[in-house]
Amino acid sequence: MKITPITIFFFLCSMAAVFNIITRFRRNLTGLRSAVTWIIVWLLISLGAIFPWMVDGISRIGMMKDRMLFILVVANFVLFALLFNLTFRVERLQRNLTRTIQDLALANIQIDSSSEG
Amino acid sequence: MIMEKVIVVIAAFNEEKNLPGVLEKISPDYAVIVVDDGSTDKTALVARNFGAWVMPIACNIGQGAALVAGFRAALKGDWDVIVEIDGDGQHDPTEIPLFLNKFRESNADVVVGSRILGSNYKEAPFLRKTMLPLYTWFIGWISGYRITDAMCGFRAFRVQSIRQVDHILLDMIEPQYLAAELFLRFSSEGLKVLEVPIHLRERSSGKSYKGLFRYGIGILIAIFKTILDKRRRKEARR
Repeated sequence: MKITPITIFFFLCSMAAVFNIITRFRRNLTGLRSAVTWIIVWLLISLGAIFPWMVDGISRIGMMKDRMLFILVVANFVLFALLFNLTFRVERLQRNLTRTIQDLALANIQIDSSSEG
Repeated sequence: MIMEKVIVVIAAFNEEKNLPGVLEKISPDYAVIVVDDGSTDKTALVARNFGAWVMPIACNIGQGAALVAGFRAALKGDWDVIVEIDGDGQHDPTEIPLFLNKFRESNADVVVGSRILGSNYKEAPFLRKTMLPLYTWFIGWISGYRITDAMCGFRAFRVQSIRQVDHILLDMIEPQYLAAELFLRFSSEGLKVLEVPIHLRERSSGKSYKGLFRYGIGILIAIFKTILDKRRRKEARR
């Protein structure tokens, strides 16, 4: 195992992120599913940084010779999938919020077609 | 002549200067709801002074969503026709009888105003003259309606028809650019849409919040979202 500055950097970043997620979970700021998912992601990143041969092995399975290229492709894919998921979630939230605001406004108005406003 | 019970719905966001010019031209025979879309000026006060119902929205949710709120409120009463006009003075409320006549002489479910069929369209700015037919063609192509102006916010709805498909209002997803989504949803429900020529007017005061290009992009996104939403709903029903 060869320790390089970039390995230490990735490992420290991953540990900081894991610590952050655990703190958020303990403060009830994030759910269990999200916390576990992100902890796994960050642990995988730190594993990849400490044991690059593992990444090499996986990248060979993925028909990619260059480890960095493999990491970039996977990272891009994960980011794109997350963005896609978040976009739809935000949109759904926006719709629900708009509907709630409309319902509130409707509840506060008394309309009677036999009289004027 | 049959007198329909008409309610006019206006969505207004900071339109205290333009609203009096619109409200004073609306016939006293019609009821008016002004949906105050989170204005920070005296829009609500101005509307109340003219005897309109004011439907205050807690925050700015967009013209489309505000109008939908107004339509839902209007459907609570027993009106025959809901008319939608802009609060910025671009539509002439004295042209409302044209819409009512169209309902009387046809079995249309929705009547939309067409600025292109109006006599003063030649005076329109170049950009609008170029972009409006383009957007209209696209919306017409997707929805299957043969229309000349899909973007006009001067529309009238036969309440009886809208009541039968009132889920449309709850399904609406586009908070800002209502036109494209409305046509797509009307088309999927098989509603009959006809046009009447109306006159083109400029805003009495202030500047529009939506530019023509921004409008175009918004419409494309709205169409995309509506199509996705319709597919998702179809799949959910299966």
